[in-house]
Amino acid sequence: MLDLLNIILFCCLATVGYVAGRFAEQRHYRFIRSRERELADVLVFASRFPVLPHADKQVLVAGSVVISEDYFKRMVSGLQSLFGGRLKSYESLVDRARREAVLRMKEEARAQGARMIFNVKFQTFSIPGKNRNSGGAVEVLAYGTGLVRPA
Amino acid sequence: MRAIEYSNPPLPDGINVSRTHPLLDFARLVAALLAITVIAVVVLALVAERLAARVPFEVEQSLAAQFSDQLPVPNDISRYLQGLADRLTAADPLPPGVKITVHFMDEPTVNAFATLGGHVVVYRGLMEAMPNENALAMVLAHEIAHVRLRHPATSMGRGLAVGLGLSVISAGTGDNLAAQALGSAGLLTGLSFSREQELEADEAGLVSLSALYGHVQGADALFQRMAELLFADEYRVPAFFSTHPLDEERIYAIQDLAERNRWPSQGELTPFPEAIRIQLPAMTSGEGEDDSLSADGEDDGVRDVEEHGLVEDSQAPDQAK
Repeated sequence: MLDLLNIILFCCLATVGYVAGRFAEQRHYRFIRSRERELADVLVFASRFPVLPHADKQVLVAGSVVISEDYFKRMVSGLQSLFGGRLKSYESLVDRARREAVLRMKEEARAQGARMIFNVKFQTFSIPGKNRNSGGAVEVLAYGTGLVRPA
Repeated sequence: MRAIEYSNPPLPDGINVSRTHPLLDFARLVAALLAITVIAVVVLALVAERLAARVPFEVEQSLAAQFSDQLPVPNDISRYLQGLADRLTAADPLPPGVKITVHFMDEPTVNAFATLGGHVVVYRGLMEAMPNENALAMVLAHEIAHVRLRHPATSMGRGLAVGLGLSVISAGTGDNLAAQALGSAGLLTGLSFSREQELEADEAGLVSLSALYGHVQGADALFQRMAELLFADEYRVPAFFSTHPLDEERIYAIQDLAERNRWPSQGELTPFPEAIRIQLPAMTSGEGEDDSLSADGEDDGVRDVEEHGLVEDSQAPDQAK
């Protein structure tokens, strides 16, 4: 009886995880794409040395986001980790986090009057760390040097 | 303005994400896992079955001690059954250390079973259906043979292996697997034997039966009675057949064995003691042995008694409600 309840609970969690997770992901991607178009004029570069007049003011701009997995992704990744191979269910998670972090960094840059960000770097952090029992979430931090043209 | 030299061309969307549908991905993984689990369980079960039969009988007894509180308290009938079992094991000794304990379950179910630790349980319904002591002795000999051949341990080994395999899928319950598998609920009646094991137990049971009585008339009487029960009411098949499938193969195997060993299939049948018949009023009447002795002729009087017995049998659960 308890086993049956466990199985029902498991199926409910997986279904909720799948439906809610997929809905949230698709909505987030639409949001990301529209803002990427909107912020296309804030340029980002990995290069450390901009070839620009030294008169530009330099500011540190950063954007960070934490994205959580859902129950379904977690289950699929658990299965996948038995066999190895690409963790496809987590690819979109990291992709969203990276793009969202860049967008937040660009928003901050625009707020400070910067139109270009050089030396863009990423850092990621696994929120549960080594505690495998807590829900998985990933933080992505994007930061760089914003160049503000003097007024 | 030199900033013109810099640009961020739009990147193609979704290059960092696999296009496979998540559900398809999931289905593939589950299918692969299931295939591996099924193979692993089959292999594990085969190994466990072989190993379990080599586990010392004392281990089985200590496992069985866990559910001793579920077994009914001894009474006159269980003492009589124990006596009959003791006579069977005296005629055909068990391996050293193996001990049979017979219990009587006061329920209308037409069944008997052997479980871990040499415990054999006989239901009232089965005793009431038995025409004479020889038929009952065949049932007991069959169940004792299961214990002799270590079938309960084998079956538990198989069950454990399957449980282990299933817990791989639901990894969360893996920790209390042992507790679940050995949990008192499933252990008492949860052991099932394969058809091969049933045939083996029939053979070994026949050996015991012929050792005790010098003939195997009891087996004939038992299967004849069971066949009558089976055909009397096809909608109310006794539980006995769900665990002891009665088919031609089984009956032929028994006849064949009796012929090969030159055991007389006819012999004197022993009626139940009067004290037992008084305690079980629904029991097939004492004329039962005459019925079984006459191999082909059944008079109407006996039929009526049998049907009477059946009706009472079927009413019993209703009254319990």
